[in-house]
Amino acid sequence: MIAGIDPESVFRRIHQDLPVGLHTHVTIIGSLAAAYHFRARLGFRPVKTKDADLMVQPAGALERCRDIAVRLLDGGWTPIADCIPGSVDTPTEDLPVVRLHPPGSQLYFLELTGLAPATQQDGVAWERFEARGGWYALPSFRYLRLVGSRLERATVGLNYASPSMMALANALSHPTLDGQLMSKPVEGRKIKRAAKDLGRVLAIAYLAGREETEEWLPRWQDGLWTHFSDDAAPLGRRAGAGIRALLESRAELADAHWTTTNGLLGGLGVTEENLRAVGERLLVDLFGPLAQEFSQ
Amino acid sequence: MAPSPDERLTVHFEPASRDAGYDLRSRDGRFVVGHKNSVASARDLYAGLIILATALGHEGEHVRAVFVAGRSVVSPSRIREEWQRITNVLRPAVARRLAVVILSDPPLCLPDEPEVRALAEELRLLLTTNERKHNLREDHPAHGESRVPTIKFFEVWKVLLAHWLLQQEALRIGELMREANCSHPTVIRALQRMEERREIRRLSNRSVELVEFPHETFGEALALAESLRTPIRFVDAAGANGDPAALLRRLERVAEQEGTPKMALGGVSAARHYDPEFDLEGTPRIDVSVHTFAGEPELGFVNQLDPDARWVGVVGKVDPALRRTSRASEAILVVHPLRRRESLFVRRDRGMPLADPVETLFDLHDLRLHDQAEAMVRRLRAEKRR
Repeated sequence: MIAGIDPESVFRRIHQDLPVGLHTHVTIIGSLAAAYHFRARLGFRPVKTKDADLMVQPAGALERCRDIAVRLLDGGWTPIADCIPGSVDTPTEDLPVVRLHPPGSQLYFLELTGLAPATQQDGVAWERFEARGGWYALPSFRYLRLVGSRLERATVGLNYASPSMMALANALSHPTLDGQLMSKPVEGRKIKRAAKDLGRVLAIAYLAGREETEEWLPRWQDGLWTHFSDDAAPLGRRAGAGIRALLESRAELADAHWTTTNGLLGGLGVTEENLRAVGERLLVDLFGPLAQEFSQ
Repeated sequence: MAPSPDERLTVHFEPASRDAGYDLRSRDGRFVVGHKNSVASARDLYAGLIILATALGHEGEHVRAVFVAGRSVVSPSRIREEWQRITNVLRPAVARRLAVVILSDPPLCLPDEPEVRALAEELRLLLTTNERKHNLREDHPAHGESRVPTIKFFEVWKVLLAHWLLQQEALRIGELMREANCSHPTVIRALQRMEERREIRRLSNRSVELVEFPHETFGEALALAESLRTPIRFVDAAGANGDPAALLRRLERVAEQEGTPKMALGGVSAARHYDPEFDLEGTPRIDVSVHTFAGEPELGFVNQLDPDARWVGVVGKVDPALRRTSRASEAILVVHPLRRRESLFVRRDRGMPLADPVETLFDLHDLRLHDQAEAMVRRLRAEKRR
């Protein structure tokens, strides 16, 4: 079972362990960022999540990634069990992503992600780098460029992704429910990556509430124009396709519910019907108007 | 001790879920029952049978669906004709599993089969006793039943009370007939009942008005409010962040965009208008009255045949996460259909109209804001004296 972590203490720990000069070059993303942002609404209690995703910028900053990895390894952070560094001969696709436990604790792990360059068309691109004699892979997710818009600032001074832009990035990543399963089952259940990521869109929207999500539309438009100028219109028109497909699939919605209640929404008593209603609101309030804006 | 009708009903039948398409299910699993107090038109019969026919699609082949009404203003011969027409257009496999029972004396059973007659006898005993206890009749009472109030009586009474609270002049009988949409005999019977209680006075110009706040009838109306008003309640299915104040803002925005003059705010929102010193922090829920005089669904608010209640009308535009609920305590929005001819809505320079103060008082009592309701009446009457 996934143990709960306190997002504020994890932020403090990362802030403490990273060289000060690197603080401005990292952004905390994913469920930890969302848990931190909504910590008051979550009652300041531990949240069931396992990974602290760290996105390193600017795009293509392999040297910075190497610095961070070296610094953490030197500071006693240890690779998680299945993060076995490769050699110079290991093909990039077989190299592990940097996933490190903090010193003396296995409560969570930190994972490094790169910022995708503006030219990247693939959903995910991989680069390799060496740190302390081992070789690792650095993934860059195309739509996570969006989180560069409207960064939030934690009290310790680290940047983290705004929930609104994470929601859009996750929605764009999965226009359909096709695709691979998660590398590991979630609490014993095999889940598609699409169900997990789209479930997070619903979880974030649930925590934000409608008053807040209604303010996302102009941010989404700005983000799409800023980061995908040529592709902004087609992306805006299809942004809601994944959520729509999720709501139409009973099985995938059940999986999305499973991942969110075993993660960000754990212990809140959120039902599948709650998530469905949140999704229907998003389609009416945001994805529909967004598609309209980009159709004109 | 012999079991009460309620207990007997529970022994033989169980209530169906909200979305089942019928009201009761026999515990032996042989029958599902759609129940209506009265068949007012052939359309009632059509609607009832079609809903049951749809529900049969989810039932085993051995289950029969029976449309049961306590009485009918449609004649038995007309019901037989309509029954024939409806069953002719249904698939035989469905039609042979349907039945109609009107609990007259003797009951009307279609088809006239022993199984249906036996069920009719059982239901006549159980439902009519319960109905007398819990429900209202829609129109004038039969001889010897003058102590039982009717929906029409309350419509007449509510119009008089609204005028009294709004400091309006006494009403002539004709105006009362028009506003309440009641016939002359119905209005006269209603006034007789109020006179017996010394609740009204007749003026020299053939008009009538209330003497004072009619506590006795108001208490009676409150006790019957659920049957009288048939509220449609909605819950915020998105869960934790239900916010009535935000819902109100959206409702007003949609009302402005759509131009919906047949919709008015009631409840706490209206009470704050009628009583500027209304004593309540926040807004616990939103009450809306919808004028549906023609008897047809208006504005997309009422779509009774949609079991999933995916509201595509105004409610859907206000919030697609709203779902119907039978639990009063969890409702964030309550819609009250108003079926009289005149809405008695109070127009404002800006914003949605307000439901009349009588509807507003009912809303407040439904919210258990009894003290605030009484204060509102005092405030309105004090205004009148000034």
